[in-house]
Amino acid sequence: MSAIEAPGRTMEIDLVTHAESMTGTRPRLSAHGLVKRYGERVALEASDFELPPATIAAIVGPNGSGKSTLLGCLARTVLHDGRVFLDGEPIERSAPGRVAYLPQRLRLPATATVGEVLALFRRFAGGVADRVAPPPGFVPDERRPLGQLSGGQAQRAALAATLQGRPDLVLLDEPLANLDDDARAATMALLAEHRAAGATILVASPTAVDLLAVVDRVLALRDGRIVHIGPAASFLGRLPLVIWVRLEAGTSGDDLSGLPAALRSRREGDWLALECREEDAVELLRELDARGVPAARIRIGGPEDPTRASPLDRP
Amino acid sequence: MIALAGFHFRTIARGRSSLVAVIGFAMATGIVALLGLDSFRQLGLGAVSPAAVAVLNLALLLPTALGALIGALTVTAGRETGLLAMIRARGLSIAGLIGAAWLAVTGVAWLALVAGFGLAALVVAGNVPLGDMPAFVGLLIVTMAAAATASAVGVLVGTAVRTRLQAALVALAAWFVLAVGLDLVVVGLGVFLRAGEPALLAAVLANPLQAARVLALLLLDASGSVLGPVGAYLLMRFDHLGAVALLAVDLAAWIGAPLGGAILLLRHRDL
Repeated sequence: MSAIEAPGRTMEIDLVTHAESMTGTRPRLSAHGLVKRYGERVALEASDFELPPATIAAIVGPNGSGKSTLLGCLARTVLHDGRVFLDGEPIERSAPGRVAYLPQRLRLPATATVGEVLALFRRFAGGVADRVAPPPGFVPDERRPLGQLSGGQAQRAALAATLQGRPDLVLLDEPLANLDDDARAATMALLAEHRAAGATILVASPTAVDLLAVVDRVLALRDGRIVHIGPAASFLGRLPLVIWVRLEAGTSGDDLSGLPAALRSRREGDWLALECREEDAVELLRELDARGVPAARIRIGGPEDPTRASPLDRP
Repeated sequence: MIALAGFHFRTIARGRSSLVAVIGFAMATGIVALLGLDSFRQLGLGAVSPAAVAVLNLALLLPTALGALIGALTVTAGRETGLLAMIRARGLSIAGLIGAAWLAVTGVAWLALVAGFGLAALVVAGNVPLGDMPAFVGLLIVTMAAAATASAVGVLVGTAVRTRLQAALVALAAWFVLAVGLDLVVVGLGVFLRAGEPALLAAVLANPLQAARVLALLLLDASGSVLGPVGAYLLMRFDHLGAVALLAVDLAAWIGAPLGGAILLLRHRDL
């Protein structure tokens, strides 16, 4: 057993020491012996892992655990030992446009317009039509310079640029940063559409909570090592079994009290506590998603106090 | 690569500092051309060549400083902001990333040169015998080549350092060494060591700005007399065409070598 810290909690999780078997499905992504060192310090020493096509995987772990380094290795922007394969071929030999990468804290040139950024990445998308178009209003006005956009608008423009074309492997480093509830929901829906079209998507996040409504697998890192990889349900099964929903002003939460996956519910101030069985946690999150509850209003954590639960944003 | 170069070019050219540099250089060139025209006319010399000589030093200093500085900043900023990583993941090679940055920065430096020489051409237009125009155009081409070498050096600096502040400081230091420092060293050591013409020629070839200056003066004055012993040695050893070719190849090498170095360096670094 090993430990990984979620904000406010410490969870015991299984240490994975071998590649996850994907019997019957050719892996889209295979990583073998990935090691990244900065001088003497080992930033990443990941055990082998594979991911099938049409999968969304969350890479979770505390700050400095190696999430961005792992994505950089997969994106070929960070030099490393070990090999990465895309559909069985070395990733460095993959056709242009098959891998899309959104780095953390991306800052595109302030003098470029949204349209210019989209046009640039369209050129690098392999000359194919977009697999999925972003929803109306997701992309800011194409004539506006990026320097005039808010952080959230710039992030949406960057996401739209990243997801252009038909990337088979999408690597997103904290893509929900700066996004409001609606934009987060739209981004989740966009990722789900790309998954439905066959893309394998890895999303790095300090917590899994904001992603669990859509992710299939969770890959947890600690101190540069993979300490858990498996279905999202098994990850959730190790979390406390109260899902907190922050209620909007003036609402009672009664419409959420009777969700089938919830065993019971109770009101705590502005919060609604939904208790559930381990194996029903993912289903409950999906029910909440179906009811239009944005991930930003959801926390998973201790039964006594939602402010100590795994957060997205503290009140 | 061309698409990325165009993107870089537009974003750099729209930047306030680039606009100030281009307009400032154009105005300075116009003024220098005007002053040069007036003073050299009193000596009874032709119109274009003296004015062009007056413009030459300016054109070899400001656009090269611009190229070195922006070259370094473009690469470093691209790495700091994640843009290069994003594009690299999409499949563009390291050589493509470097080549795009160099093309864009060189384009901006050329924009400054064309604006400056355009204004200078307007200033001297009334006094120019048509026969002098090829020399004027040759001067422009040589200064463009010098700007391209400085941009390549800037791009190399950008791959070698981590932050934009380091990039700016190292690029300006490198430019200062090429523009002034090496000349001072050559003057000092040349006198001390009694260096002969071959050593002086080697010193010229080792400095792209000096090579460009000599090449430009050879274009303006085929006899090479304004170049003193180095010019005489060059023409005696290589004749006029050979000397021009040697200096042109030297400038091309000063573009290729830094860019090759930048590609090698970036291949062994994280983006």
